Amino acid sequence: MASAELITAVVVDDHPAIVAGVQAWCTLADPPIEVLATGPTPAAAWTDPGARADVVVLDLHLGQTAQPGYGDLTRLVDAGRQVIVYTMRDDAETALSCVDIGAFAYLTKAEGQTHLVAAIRAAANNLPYTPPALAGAIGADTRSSRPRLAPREEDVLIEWFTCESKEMVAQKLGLSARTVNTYIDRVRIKYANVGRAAPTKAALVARAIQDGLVALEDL
Amino acid sequence: MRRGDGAESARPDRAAARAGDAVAGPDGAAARPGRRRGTAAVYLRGLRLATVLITFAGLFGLALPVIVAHAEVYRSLTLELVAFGILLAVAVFCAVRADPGRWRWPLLVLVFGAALLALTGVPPELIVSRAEWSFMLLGWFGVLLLLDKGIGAVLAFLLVHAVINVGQLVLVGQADRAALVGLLIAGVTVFGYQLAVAFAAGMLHRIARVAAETARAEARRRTAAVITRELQRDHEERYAALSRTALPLLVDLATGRADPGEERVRRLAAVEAARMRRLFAEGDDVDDPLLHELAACIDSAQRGGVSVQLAVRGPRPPLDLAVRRALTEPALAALVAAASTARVTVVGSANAVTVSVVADAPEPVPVAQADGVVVTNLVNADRVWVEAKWRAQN
Repeated sequence: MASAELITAVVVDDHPAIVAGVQAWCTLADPPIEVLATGPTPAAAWTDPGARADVVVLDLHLGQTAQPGYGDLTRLVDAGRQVIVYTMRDDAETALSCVDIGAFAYLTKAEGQTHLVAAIRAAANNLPYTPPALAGAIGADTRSSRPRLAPREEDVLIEWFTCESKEMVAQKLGLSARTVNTYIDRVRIKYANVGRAAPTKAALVARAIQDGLVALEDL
Repeated sequence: MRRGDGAESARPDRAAARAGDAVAGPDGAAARPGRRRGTAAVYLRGLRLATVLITFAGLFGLALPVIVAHAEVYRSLTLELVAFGILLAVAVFCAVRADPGRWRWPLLVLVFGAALLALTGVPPELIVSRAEWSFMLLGWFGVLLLLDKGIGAVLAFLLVHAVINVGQLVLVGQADRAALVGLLIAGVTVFGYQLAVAFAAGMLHRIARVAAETARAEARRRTAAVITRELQRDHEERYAALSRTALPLLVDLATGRADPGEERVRRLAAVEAARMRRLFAEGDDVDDPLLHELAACIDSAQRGGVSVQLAVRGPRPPLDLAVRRALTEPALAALVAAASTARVTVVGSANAVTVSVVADAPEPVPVAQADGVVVTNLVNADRVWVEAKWRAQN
């Protein structure tokens, strides 16, 4: 997918203010991200020009439904699309379910301004991106199916969730900011490597191995 | 670490012991009516057994020999034997089943039926004589079947019985003065015993009922007393918690020692206000007390114009009040001191809970650590990060 070229995105959200906000962030980003299409239903991501977009920004609760749209997410992921779930819901269970299905990242709307543009850029390049809400869900994950994490990795995730500043995490744990990033990314790759198989997860793991972030035997 | 918090940290044990008291109180009281009711029940059972024995003794010791001795005299021996059989069957039933239940009325009909059969089988001139055995015996069946219905029921039974006998006398044309007097004498003699038993049973029933009511009232009174004592203690504890910090500040404000124009005093007042809110929240009965009390702290900060974001992750074990206070205290101070924004996070696991605040607040005053809660502060540029972490002590 695009790396040096212009990154493109499609925004699926039924709230016009959210769509307008995301569009504005993308336009103001440096380099800018082109929003090819927007729409209140996933149809925007399946039809031209949205179908050509590198990244899908998907609201998990479209229309008046109380249930999260896991079906829409699964179909997009299975079609090889890079999906960033962007939702009002800030609960660990939903975040972990989305990651398991193969969503590239899980962002709460409170985190959007700080993290959405960076997440779209990372998604277009198959690079892991773990915003604080998702880090908290992974760090406090107690499911039996969770991948094995080193205690230090858990600490870093929780501190990142708590303070939202990698600089402060590094300061508190006596690590370099770079090491903090590496810990967070490695955990994300471990999560991509377990559970349901999805092309997006495979791409994430492949890119991480290629970049030397993780070795094959670590997984 | 224990000093000053000893009273609070000892509280859970004490609370458990008090809860034990509260439960044991009514229970203990409940055991006593059981015993009293038991005593009355034992006497009632004894009375019933005695009645059963008397009935059997009457059937075999009085009625059967009379029937055998007068076998030749009866108009029909078969009728007498059938009547005897029916009464014997009813007596056996009553011996086996203490409470006749829904069989009570059919059995009463059977008993009177048997009496009529026995009467019919006796020649008219012998109705008031030893040959008529059923008259003496029948009352005991009334006592057996109506023992738990009170003396009135037994009296009614005996009355019906007497009416039937007098009626039969009239029917067969033997209602002369001698016969009626004979019947009356026999009646007074036998009915007296039977009524005495019924009267005793009625008394025992009443005693048991009164005892049970008294015990219930006593249990209610004890429970109410325990609840009042608990409420009083809670009030005192809350007042004590307030008087440690809030009252001195109020006194200083009142006497002019503290100046409300001073930033330091205003912050102290804000902290005390937040503590009071938390204190009130501690009394609420909620599923998640830690989050509820934290919400009270957050609410105080929001009233001060701070935008607060809260995120919660992971399961949490239940925590004692002292631990919850120690966890929320640093957060409370940071929230109240925040200039515009704060992020509150609660992260739990099976044996640890962390409450953390990141806010644009001045560097916090170090707080004393208590009850296994470790507080760490980190200052970075314009933000402070205050974290209180509790770990289960094994």
